[in-house]
Amino acid sequence: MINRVRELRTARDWSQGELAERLGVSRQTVNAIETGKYDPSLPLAFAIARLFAMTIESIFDPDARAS
Amino acid sequence: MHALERRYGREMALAAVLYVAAMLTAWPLALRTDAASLRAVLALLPVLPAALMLRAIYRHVRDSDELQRRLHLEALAISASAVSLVSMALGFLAAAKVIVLGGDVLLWVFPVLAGVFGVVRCWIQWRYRCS
Repeated sequence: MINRVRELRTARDWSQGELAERLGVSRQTVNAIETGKYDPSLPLAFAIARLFAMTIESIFDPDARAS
Repeated sequence: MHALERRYGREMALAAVLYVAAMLTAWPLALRTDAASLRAVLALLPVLPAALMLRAIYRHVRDSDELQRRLHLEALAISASAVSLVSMALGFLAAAKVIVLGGDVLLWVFPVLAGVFGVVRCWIQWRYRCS
């Protein structure tokens, strides 16, 4: 699954640490999500979508695979 | 997340200090005590700080975020399986009288499990960064 988390974060000029703090997770978790090594749980995906004021499916694409 | 790490470090340090104190005071006393019930109490005293260590680990895993919890549990599954398998193999060898194991060999299960868990946890974390 690929996602637009890195693109959305950098557009807001946030560091991974800042995003992690806003989501209540570790910086490593944000990094793992951005690089496609880890797919977040549904509650975390909702929290990400809410933070960026978008829908989950506009951020995460389940049909694409991270390289 | 830093507060979580600080709390874990604080709780583990306290438990380690209590463990060392129990090993330096109660354990030598236990070896010199004749009364079986008192000897049992003194011998079991180091188990209390060991239980505090387990409590600290449990609280750390429980309050970690979802990825960290997954890494902890993966490491725990691998280390517990490895230590159980080695214990079983040693048990069979001892039962077949190929090797001789004393009762104190059980004392090593907890520290070996903790050590293997630490190594596996680092390996899993490294794998997540590099995969």
